Amino acid sequence: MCNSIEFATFPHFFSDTLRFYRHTNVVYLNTVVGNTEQFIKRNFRVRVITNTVLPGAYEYDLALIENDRFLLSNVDLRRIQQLADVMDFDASQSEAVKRNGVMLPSGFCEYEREIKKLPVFDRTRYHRATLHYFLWHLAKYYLINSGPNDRGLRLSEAVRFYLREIKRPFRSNREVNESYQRIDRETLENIAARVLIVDVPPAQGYGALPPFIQVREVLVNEQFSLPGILPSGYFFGSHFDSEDDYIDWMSEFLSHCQHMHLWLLIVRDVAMLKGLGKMLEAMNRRSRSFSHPITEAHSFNYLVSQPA
Amino acid sequence: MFNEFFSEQYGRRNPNARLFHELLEATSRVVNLVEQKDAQHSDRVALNCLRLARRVGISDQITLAQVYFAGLLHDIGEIGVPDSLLYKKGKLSEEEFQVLTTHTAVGQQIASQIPVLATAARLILWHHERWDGTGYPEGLTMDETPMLAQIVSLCDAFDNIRRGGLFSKPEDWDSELMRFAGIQFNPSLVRPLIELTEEGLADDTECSPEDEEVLNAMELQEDVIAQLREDYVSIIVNFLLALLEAKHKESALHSKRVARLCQRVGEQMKLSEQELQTLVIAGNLHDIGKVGIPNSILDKPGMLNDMEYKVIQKHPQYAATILEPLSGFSEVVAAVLHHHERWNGCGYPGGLKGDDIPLLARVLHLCDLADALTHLRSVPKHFAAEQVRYVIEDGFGSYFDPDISRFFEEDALEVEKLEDDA
Repeated sequence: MCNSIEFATFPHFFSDTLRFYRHTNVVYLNTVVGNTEQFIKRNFRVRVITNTVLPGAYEYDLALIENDRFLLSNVDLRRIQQLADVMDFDASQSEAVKRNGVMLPSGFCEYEREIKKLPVFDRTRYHRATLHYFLWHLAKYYLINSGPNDRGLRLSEAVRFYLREIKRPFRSNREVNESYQRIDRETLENIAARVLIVDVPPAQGYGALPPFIQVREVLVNEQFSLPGILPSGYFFGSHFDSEDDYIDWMSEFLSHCQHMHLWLLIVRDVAMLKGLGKMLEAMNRRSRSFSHPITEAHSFNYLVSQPA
Repeated sequence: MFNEFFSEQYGRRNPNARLFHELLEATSRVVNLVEQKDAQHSDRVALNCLRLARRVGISDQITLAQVYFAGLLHDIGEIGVPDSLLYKKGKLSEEEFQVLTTHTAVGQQIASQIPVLATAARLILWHHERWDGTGYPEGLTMDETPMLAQIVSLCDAFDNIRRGGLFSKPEDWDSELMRFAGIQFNPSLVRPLIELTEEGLADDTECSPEDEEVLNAMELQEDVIAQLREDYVSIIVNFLLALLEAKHKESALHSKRVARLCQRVGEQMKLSEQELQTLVIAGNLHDIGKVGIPNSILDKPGMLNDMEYKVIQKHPQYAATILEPLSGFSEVVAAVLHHHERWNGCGYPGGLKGDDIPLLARVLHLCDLADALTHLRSVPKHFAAEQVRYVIEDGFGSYFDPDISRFFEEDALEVEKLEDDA
């Protein structure tokens, strides 16, 4: 089982750097997680442009970054609740179903299928993304790690709770934000942004996702597999044969972002720091790194870079 | 920075001072002053954090001590949240909620002023993260949040459930916790906490010998003590100033200016190095008692009414209460406690007169008023630096020791003004 903390991003630690860049555009390139873009949208007066690789992460960004309002009407909410009341189950009594690396109660899987049949699900891509976000929260609640699921809430109660809860993160920052999935280099070159934040994946690629991220992807694509989802050849989050290959690829990729003033690289792999520093120097940018311990065994590193 | 002071007070006079315990006691008193709603909340959370961490298998004494401190200081950042918002009845608006969420980051910044509590500071930052990822500030999901922070979060929420008022029934506490397992809390922590409550340990606010052992372990840790000995006084001054800055920035800036003025006047008076450092420390900390005064009074435009004036007059005593546990700070305490005494005996809190007022308190009073006359918003009329000497000598002559006021130079105020503008 992979360690979730290795996937987490701690945006608070670089927020002081971002405070100097108000009223500007920020491009955020990430692979898996979703909390950082939301943190930026919520806390800084900037326009957020995100790019993700995973379809589930893209749905998340569509719902919460590109979209500003909670779109489900009271009629939609009543329908979703009614469905839960009809299909109510107790998690401890429900059979567990294995779905592409995650275990969920069968009652939940049936409910998910019915939700996806509702007309509201296909109304717009933002409605679909909002419902995926809602289903993800429910799925996280019912996720079975080992042994029987002893979650206390029945489906109808959990749905009632989360229908109230999920409205909270939907909010506008009074900017036109955009979300992309696998942005191409030409688009990247044409984005007029001052800040680039890159969540640098490890050179070995992501082997396995933590269950709560895996379940988000499975809800969006039943056949999801991480290696399968990445384009052929080298890409963000894929496995690189050597560190040099990785640095070369990163350098080529980032050369399309030279017009962005500040780069903030989130580096999980401490061994990569030296190579990335040299890469930035070769790209005629000065950089400095700073580190924050998260736990006794784990620390988080950032590289900040500006044109020399 | 305060080497002479430290070596005199802690080296020669009190070589066996228990630095970490002093710090703990002073911190505890600050927390109790800050928490006007429920003075025991943080104490209970701290002890429950310690016990729960032990119950789930954490045995390293230093780690346990960090969890204890995170529990004790978890809400210290609330000092930066306006009282009107903290005590607001009913639902907070979106903007108000945003302001409230800053208390975790403010708390982290305050706690990180004490380097030996670096781990606790990080835990404070994450104590409102939720298991399902809808918490703040970072929105971490499940075990992305470090386990120790999950423990603080759970114990904080549990104490909030327990103090839920008349309608909070003890028989409902367990089911309330179970209801939010998997939503707000790590489900694997909830069961051990319920076991603690069943054993009655979660209600016990007295430190058991086992709990004491954890705090003693910090005192025995050589690198912790070495770190404290290296810069003990600066750590305390910076921690308390950070706290005051979060509460009332104007007072913190005023304190720093007063400390610099004190240094200049002290140098003119040819005080010894140790006295000079004591005076500078007292200058920095003379208004620290304001952490216990509501912002509505500190920020009130215009004159205070009698009731409000009585409340604000308590700040020297509050300051003394905070600093008393620090064994080497007795002279600082005397200066801070009496910095509103007047030469003619009409000051507060003791109404001391003439030479009965400690010397450093007399200097501090002079510098405090001089800076207030030129800078503070709460003073109705500001004076130019060159007018202050006239005001001190003629207007308030009877307030000050004449032997000290002759050392006062208005140039010092000019310099302060320039530094402020810069």
